[in-house]
Amino acid sequence: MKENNVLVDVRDLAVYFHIEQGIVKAVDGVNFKIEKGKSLGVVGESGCGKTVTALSLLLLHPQPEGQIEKGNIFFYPDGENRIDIAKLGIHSKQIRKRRGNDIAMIFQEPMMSLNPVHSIGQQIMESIRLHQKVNKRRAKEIAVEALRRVRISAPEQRMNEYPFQLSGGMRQRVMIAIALSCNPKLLIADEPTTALDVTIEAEILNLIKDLQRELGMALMMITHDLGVIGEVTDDVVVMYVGKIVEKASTRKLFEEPLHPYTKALFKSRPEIRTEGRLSSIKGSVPNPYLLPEGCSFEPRCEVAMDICKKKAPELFNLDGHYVSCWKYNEKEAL
Amino acid sequence: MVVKGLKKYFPNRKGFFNKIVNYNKAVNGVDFFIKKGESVGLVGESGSGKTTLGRCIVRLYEPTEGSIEFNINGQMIDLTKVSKKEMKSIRKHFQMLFQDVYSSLDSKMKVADIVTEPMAIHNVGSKKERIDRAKELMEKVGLSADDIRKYPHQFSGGQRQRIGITRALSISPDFIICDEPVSALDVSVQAQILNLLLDLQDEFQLSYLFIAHDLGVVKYISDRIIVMYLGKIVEIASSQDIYENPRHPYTEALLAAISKYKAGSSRDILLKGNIPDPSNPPSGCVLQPRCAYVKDICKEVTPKLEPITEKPNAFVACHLHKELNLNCYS
Repeated sequence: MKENNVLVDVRDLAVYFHIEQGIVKAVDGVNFKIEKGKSLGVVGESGCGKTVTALSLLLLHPQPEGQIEKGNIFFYPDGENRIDIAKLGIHSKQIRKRRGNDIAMIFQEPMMSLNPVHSIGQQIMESIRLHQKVNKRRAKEIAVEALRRVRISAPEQRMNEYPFQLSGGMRQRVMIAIALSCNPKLLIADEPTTALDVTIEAEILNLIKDLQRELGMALMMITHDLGVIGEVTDDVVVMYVGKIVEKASTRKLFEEPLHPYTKALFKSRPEIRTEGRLSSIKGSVPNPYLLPEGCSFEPRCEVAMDICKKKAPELFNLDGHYVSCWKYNEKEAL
Repeated sequence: MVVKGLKKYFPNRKGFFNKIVNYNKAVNGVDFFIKKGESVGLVGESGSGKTTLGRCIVRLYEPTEGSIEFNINGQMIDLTKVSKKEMKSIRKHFQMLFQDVYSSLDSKMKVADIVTEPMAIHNVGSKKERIDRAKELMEKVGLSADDIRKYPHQFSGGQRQRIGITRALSISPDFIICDEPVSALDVSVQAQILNLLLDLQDEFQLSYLFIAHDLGVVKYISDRIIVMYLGKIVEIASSQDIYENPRHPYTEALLAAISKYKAGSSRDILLKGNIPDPSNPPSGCVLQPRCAYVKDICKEVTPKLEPITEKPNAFVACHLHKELNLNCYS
């Protein structure tokens, strides 16, 4: 991989929450890269740290209790310069210049993220006026164009409507329009379709895929649904309690998932072809204050060995397919 | 349970005198039945009226028209005719399970109070008996009996839904309406809850009406599936039949929208545009403006829900169902 193709390079990132009951390691030593124009999927159950990872790229993780403990988030805005987002202040000019401009984000619940008392037009124009030196009239033109881009019919008319007048799918389209209005280099989508009907979900995913190709932007797709990952992404990171347990190209992961957790996720998906009962992962995500000493998946793992209880496995490299499980490093395990 | 010609219209009011300008025809003439011990899936997009239908059955909404006959100890009772007082005692035969596990449990009540409340309302047992029963049920649904002293915020989404299930089971209902009980949960937790519902059905001889927007999820739990669109039933068939041989274009579109779980896959989008305004449904067939196979007859004549000759208990409302050869996407 040529270095100048990299857009975001996250190295050993750790975000800890310091709260009354103790320290929660929401993100604990995470490494991944996103290349220009490529898409990365982050998959895991609720509470695995996928959203916190995404938010920390914009320094929007909950504060002051959440702190970036260590690690770097290198961002290459133009191929040459390198900014370490992890070292910026949360109110610094640098990060404010990036938020919504170079890196944009869409959220799960479009009704919550749109302001109910402002018209759609005002909300799209806000970020355009903030990041681009244009007058009101030009901003309006860009906004209408942005709405047209997300295939909203009669965009001029929609500009004057309010969020409550739109359906869930339409609101998510408006969110995407806002996110794309400044031509970001990276779009972070945090469960963008979880709150939508399956039929609308298919539409929104196709839209995101098309736009990504059209605009040549990179995409970080966060979801708990492996089906979404398969449709949209080039590479996948599987997270479990703050750590990456498996990292591979989407094709490889779907052909041969290696980590027992990933395998279990694949087995529990509801698919029409499977007959009878669904298999589910026994137990639940461990208490974040009392993490197991060894591998964090060990208490729920069906193939756990002795060493899994004692020592946490690293991310082993098997021909570009990374997996954090002792089963794939028998030499050291014995 | 037999439902006949059920309608629910919500008035749209306008102006200073709240004059009724038209009606939102959320459920517009629906007939079906559910046998004892059977689970029936009810599928459709949001706005198709499936939640309204579920709520009409337990009379959380007063139906505008039609009848709901419910078999109570061998006697068929029309729920639309009974008084509010009688309804209260009838309600212990059915319970509801909700989608939003955060708002359906009172955050200021302890689990013990939440779970025993239905028993207290229906005067079942003494206080101690109720607590004992709650503890027993908690263990049955995969929680621990000690959890009874905790508050809802101490539980994860999946555990909260288990508390909801305990509450529903506490008065030993015959029939549970599950309104999208898993759509807010993680995939792995969904599987746990679906399996639990299946186990409980075997153990307590329950009937389910399982409401969902995703045909992928209902398959596991349903013996038969009802597909609803814009307040009308468009297809009823056994769950195997509907996946192998859909007869209505809307069912085909829903099947196409199920995620394929394959790298590099994409889903076909067979329906264009949005669900129409239910206060002003299209003429003829409800699906006609969005249907890819539309013919002239569909725009003029409303198709009736007709039995399919070769399949018992299968019904479809489409003029073209004999000619169309639909894709089953599996």
